[in-house]
Parts: sequence; C-alpha cells; structure tokens
Amino acid sequence: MNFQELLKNAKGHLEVVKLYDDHEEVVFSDHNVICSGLAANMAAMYSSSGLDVSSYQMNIFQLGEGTDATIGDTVVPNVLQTPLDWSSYGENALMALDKTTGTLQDLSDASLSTGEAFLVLPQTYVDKVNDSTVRWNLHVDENTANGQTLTEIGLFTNNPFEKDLTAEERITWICAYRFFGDPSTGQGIYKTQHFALVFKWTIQF
Amino acid sequence: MKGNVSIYMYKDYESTLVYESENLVVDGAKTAVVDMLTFDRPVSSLSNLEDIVDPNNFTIAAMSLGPSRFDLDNRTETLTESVSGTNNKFPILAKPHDKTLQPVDTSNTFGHHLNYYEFSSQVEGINQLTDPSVYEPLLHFYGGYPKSDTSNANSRSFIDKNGFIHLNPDMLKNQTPSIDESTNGVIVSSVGTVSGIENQEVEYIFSLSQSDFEGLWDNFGGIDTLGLWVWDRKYNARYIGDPPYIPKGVAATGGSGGKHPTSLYNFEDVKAFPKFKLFAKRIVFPDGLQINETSYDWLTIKWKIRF
Repeated sequence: MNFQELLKNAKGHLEVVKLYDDHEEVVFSDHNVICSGLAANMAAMYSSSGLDVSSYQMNIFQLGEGTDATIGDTVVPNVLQTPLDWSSYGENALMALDKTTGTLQDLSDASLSTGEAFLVLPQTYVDKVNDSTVRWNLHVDENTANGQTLTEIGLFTNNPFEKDLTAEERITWICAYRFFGDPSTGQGIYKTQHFALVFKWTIQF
Repeated sequence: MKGNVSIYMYKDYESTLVYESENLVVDGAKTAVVDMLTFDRPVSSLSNLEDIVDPNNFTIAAMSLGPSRFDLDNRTETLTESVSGTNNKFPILAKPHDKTLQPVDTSNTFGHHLNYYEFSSQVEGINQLTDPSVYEPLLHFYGGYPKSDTSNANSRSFIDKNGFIHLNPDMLKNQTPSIDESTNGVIVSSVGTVSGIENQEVEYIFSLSQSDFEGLWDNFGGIDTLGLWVWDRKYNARYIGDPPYIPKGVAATGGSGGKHPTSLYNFEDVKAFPKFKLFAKRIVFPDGLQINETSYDWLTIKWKIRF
C-alpha cells in the first residue's frame, strides 16, 4: 500500500502507558503510520449502499510482537509482522472486551490472512477530541498477553464489506499502524500481570 | 482528501469538456469524518434504528451552485436589476475554513443561488403548497432556478427552497452511473467491486438543464461557485429529530428518476428545514462558467473526491 491523499492532512499519534496500581508511566509517545485502508474505508462508506454506519467505524485492534513493518515510513504495512493469536492473549484476556476473528485483505482484493485475532473496542472508548480529531483508548488489562513481548499495534476498520457477522467472517483493512519497540534493538514491552497497558491513539484529520 | 471538478456540455449524448479544475476540501469534511467515527450507535431495540444508522446520514447529500459575492449583493439591492453572468465580478477566493460558497448576509444566509427570492420581510418560508411535489412559492418570486413548467430542477422536485440539489432518491450506485439518472438530482458512483477500491475515489454527478442554467445566467450572475454538502447532523438532531431528514424518494411515475413523495419545500417552520455543512467547494475562474453554445441538453458536473 502507498500513502494516499488523505495522508496529506491526516496525522496520528500513539501514546503507550504502563498502568500500575499506584502510578503510571508513559513508555512510548510518537507519531503513527496512516495506512491506505483508512482512505479506502472512507471511499467505501461514501459510495456505499450499505446499511450500518458502524461497519465503517474503526474499533478493532491487533497487538503484535514482530519487527517494524515499516521501512523509514515510506512503506506502509498491510498487516502486523507477527500478530498475537488467541493463545498468546491468554485464557483470561480482556474479559471486558469482545473478541473477534477476521480476514485481512489488501486493496487489490487479495486475501492476506484469515482467522486473525482482533480485540473489539467499545464505541464508548472512542472520543471526539475536537471537530477534526478522534482518540481511541485501548485498555489491555493485567490478565492479558502476559509473557509476550509486545512491539506493534494496528487499528482496523470494522466491517467495510458489511458482512453478516452472524454467518460470515469479517473482512477488514488496516487503517493505522505503529511499531513501539526499541528501533535499534527491537526490544518491546514485556507484558506481566503487574501492570496494564493503555494505548491512546489519536488521529487528526 | 483531494477533489476534481469537470463540467461537460451534453448534446444528444455527445459530451464536450468546458471546464476542469481541482476543488478545495474544507474543514467541514474533517468534521464529517470525525462525526462518523465517533457516532455512538443506539440500542438495537429502537424501531427506527435502520434510519438512524444509515451511512447516508454521514456522507455527501447535496450540491449547490452560486454566483460571485458581487452578484449576491447586487441581486438583493433591487429586485428589478438584472445581473447577467456576463457582468459578474470575481468571487471571493476559497479558504479551508469556509462554511458557505460565498460570504453571507441577512438577505442570503446560504451564499449560493436560492430557489426563491424573498422580497417581503413578512414572508418567512413557503407554506401550504397545493402540490407538495412541485415547487410553487406563494409569496415569493422564483429564485435563480426557473418556474416548474420550464425548470427541470423544480419540475422534478430535487432542489429545495434553499438551493440545495439533493441526491436522486431513485439512483442506483454503480461504477458507471447513468447520465440520465443525473438529470434527476445528484448521483453517486460506487466503488463496486473490491478491486475498485484501489483508487479510493468517489464521483458525484449532476446534470443541469439548459433552461435552468439560463435562468441562473440571465438574472442571477451565472455560476461562479460550486459546493458539495453533508448533512448538518447536530442542527438537524436539534430541530428535525431522527433521520431521515427528508422523506425518502420514490420512483416517478412512468419514468426514471425520483420525485420525493412529499415536498422538499413544505416545511412550515423555517427552522425545521434540514441543513447541511459544506464539504468541498470550487471557485470557477476566470469570470464564471461561460457557455457559448446556444443549444445543448445538459451541463453535467462530475465531481471526484479522492480520499
């Protein structure tokens, strides 16, 4: 995928916070990478004969433990390098959140992978910061992804093909991506039960 | 987002390009995107849920055409003064924070061609129409768009009193939309197949009849500005209520295209009329849209938005 017109104005920022019982610690704060799935999602909605606007909202996430999927911010990823599967999230993961599986596609209709594990963020965790800015707040609790070294995160559109999710798997595009590991060592955040992680993802259009 | 406006003159389905330029996507477009992404879906037990979550509430819903600021001002100074398109002055340049096509004042709060001309302070709206599907102002003059017996826009009932050209309620979204459909309001292309999404482009098309263009040209300054609009959901939620903000269209009897089943105009309370927010605009330089031909069928505006 390539940078698209929307990128000329849209910019994003990711902040990752470690949340302990008695204090919190910002461990990452930097811009993100907007992917062309965001523009495709908007084009799909504006030309849609679809039924439900929530299909074009962006509430599903993936965490990963791969290397940086971008190369100098000139190549925009289609997928996370190494997304977590359900077993990596853990049996007691994110009890407050829904989980779903889906198929990832690129914009040329090619299926990249199926059965991907996604976390579903309730819409109440999506804030309107101002008339041109949206923030997603993903809370990864103490019971989730423990023992994993997290390095990457992706934000995806919900269901732009308006699949009947009671009968079919959703198809989705990645809309934004960020590698938050150490750029030189690749070392990420080793997740334990001693803290939760909060991802504050802001996109300004 | 970027956009491109092309205007073609059609005669017997043969097209000639008469104007082409990029548009300006204004701040209202960002607001529309944010509004969609942060919309909180109501509980599923609502009986009108389908209307509330309709994606069309969040996307481009109308087009408007306007003259330059000079012509807007001049038109309101005296009713008898004719403002031909050949006399117009340069319009005010477009800026990202613009909310209208041209600056507004108390006599024209929309900044583009209205479909009525209010000449008396006692009149506030258009009431009690005998045929709600055809525009017949009782206490106003017609605006730039001619009377319904000569105007395609008014006879087919797709333009409201405030000059917003609505979507053709009977259109079929597809990758190669029909020009015929665009004579009944604005139509929207579809990306159609998944592979069509690659160019991330959506096209809005509207065809203005020769009589409608001449109505705008002869007395109201012609066309110097064009705009695409989304629903103003905040205003409409306050004054209109839940969507749909206007009655959904039905196919016209015996032909293509859709009249709205009840009027776009018959809102007794002016405040109850749904409003729009500007999404993108184009100022036509130099000196407005000039048409030298004396005989043509349609001026077709093709407006591409690239996300």
